[in-house]
Amino acid sequence: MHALLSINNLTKNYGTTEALCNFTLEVVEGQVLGILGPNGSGKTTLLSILLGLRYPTSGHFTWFNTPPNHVPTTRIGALIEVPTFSPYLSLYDNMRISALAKNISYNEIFPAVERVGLTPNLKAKVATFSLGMKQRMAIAQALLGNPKIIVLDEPTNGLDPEGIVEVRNLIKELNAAGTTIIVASHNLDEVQRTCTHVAILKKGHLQAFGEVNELLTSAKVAIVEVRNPESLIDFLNSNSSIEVIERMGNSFKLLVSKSEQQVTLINDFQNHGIVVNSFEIRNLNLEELFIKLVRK
Amino acid sequence: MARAVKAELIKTLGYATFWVLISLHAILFLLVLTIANKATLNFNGVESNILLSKPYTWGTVAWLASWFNLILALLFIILCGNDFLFGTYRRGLLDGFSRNQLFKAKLSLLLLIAIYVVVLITLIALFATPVLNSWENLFTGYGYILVLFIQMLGYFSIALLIIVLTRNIALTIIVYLLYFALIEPIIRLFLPDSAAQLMPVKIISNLTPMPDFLGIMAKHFNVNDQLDASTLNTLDVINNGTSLTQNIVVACLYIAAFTVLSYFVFKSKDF
Repeated sequence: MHALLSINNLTKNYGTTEALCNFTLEVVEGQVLGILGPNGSGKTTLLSILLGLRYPTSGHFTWFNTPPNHVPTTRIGALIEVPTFSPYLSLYDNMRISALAKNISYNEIFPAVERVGLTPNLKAKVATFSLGMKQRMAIAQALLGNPKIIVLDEPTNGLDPEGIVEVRNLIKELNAAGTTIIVASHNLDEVQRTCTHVAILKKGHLQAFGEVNELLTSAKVAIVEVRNPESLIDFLNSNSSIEVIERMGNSFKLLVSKSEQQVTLINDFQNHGIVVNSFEIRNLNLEELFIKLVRK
Repeated sequence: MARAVKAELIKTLGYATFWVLISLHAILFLLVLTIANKATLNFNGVESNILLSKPYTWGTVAWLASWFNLILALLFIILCGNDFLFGTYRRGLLDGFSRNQLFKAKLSLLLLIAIYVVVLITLIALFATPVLNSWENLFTGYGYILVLFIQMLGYFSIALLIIVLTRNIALTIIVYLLYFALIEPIIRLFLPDSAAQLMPVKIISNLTPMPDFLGIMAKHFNVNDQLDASTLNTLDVINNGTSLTQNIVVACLYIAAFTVLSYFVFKSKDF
């Protein structure tokens, strides 16, 4: 496995605003990397720089160990933010323009369009398309030329539940066929289902990066219901190794260390006069990890 | 580069507004030329349509054609602005075109429109004026049409610079019209005459001057050339500020400067 993408200390400032700060990461062949972060965390800025839409303030990156401007265009397919196209042209004409940019035959348009289920709409003007169809078209543009790596920014935007499942399956199929995928998304459940790796961004800083399973087993979640919440809060205030993820009345969702045992924890609570009604401990899910890192 | 031009042509030829404006330009020019040819205004025994006969034909045609440069400039602004409006520059970059290719393709489109207009004007003039009555001196004075070509490039290059700076069609049209009609004329008021004559719009507009109708009339009355020139000068009909050759050179410099500046703005900005 070798790195398809190496990013070194990438920084981007918009005036005095730091959109991306010393971002360093490697994407290896075969990965499905999910990039997560709240709005304004720098996801789109990062992808825009990697795809040549924006210039970094400092730092550098390589695709396939090659400077970005020397990478053959057919090796990377991309969809950034919203689909962009000439609305007055047909789907076929828009795809022809993409094929010209990628320097590939027009014949390659048909399998890409077929893959996203838009073959019957090939001659229709894109202006008449629904948001979901436009999103599919943009995915078809990204698929054109069978790229080695596909970068998708919010690919399920505007798609109905069926479309979301199709995109999820498409990502899995492409990855199974050897395509490396980078996907930025707000949809944590989607990322958990489809990604092998995840990078979490907050205000331009990389908060966590690693295999999804590894990150999700890096801590545990304890769901506890108590009779005297004030006592629990006092206990938590004096114990920095436990964080509150969520509170609903007397019920608390707590982030605890992965080595924490249920019995030990209940004993600790009882020793501090906390009356426990119910207690459950389980692995983290991505949403809880995300909240933990982004709240920090 | 050829691929980027081809993509540019797909976008342009598939755009209904392009066909509307390009047809409007052709129809208006044909109409004006036909009316000018048919009109028989008589000035002391000299018919006005003498301006469309040899050797004045091409100078008059260039001047009449220059009336419609604004339509072409607006068309060019819309064609450039659409790429910002619809995000197709972004798409082009994502698909693998370089900024360099995208910019050169737009320049090629600019050139193709100007070439098309030269061909159109030549063809219309050949059939709508008496120039084809004899083959003799058919293209005497055709240089004026080539000067019109430079003038169109001048109008387009200013439009190009504004659109790459603003990235907004409506704003560009407003700034463009204001610059032509208001900003530059006001600036010229505060400049010495020699400098005012060298301002971009002044230089570019002066490339296709109004035909020297009084001079032509004077020649037909066999009036002494010196008297003719001095009379016209008094009447402020002839612009003595700069010669046509000087105008062409300065206009070409402006075109080059605006294009290079546009290129650097286009290349340096984020998409």
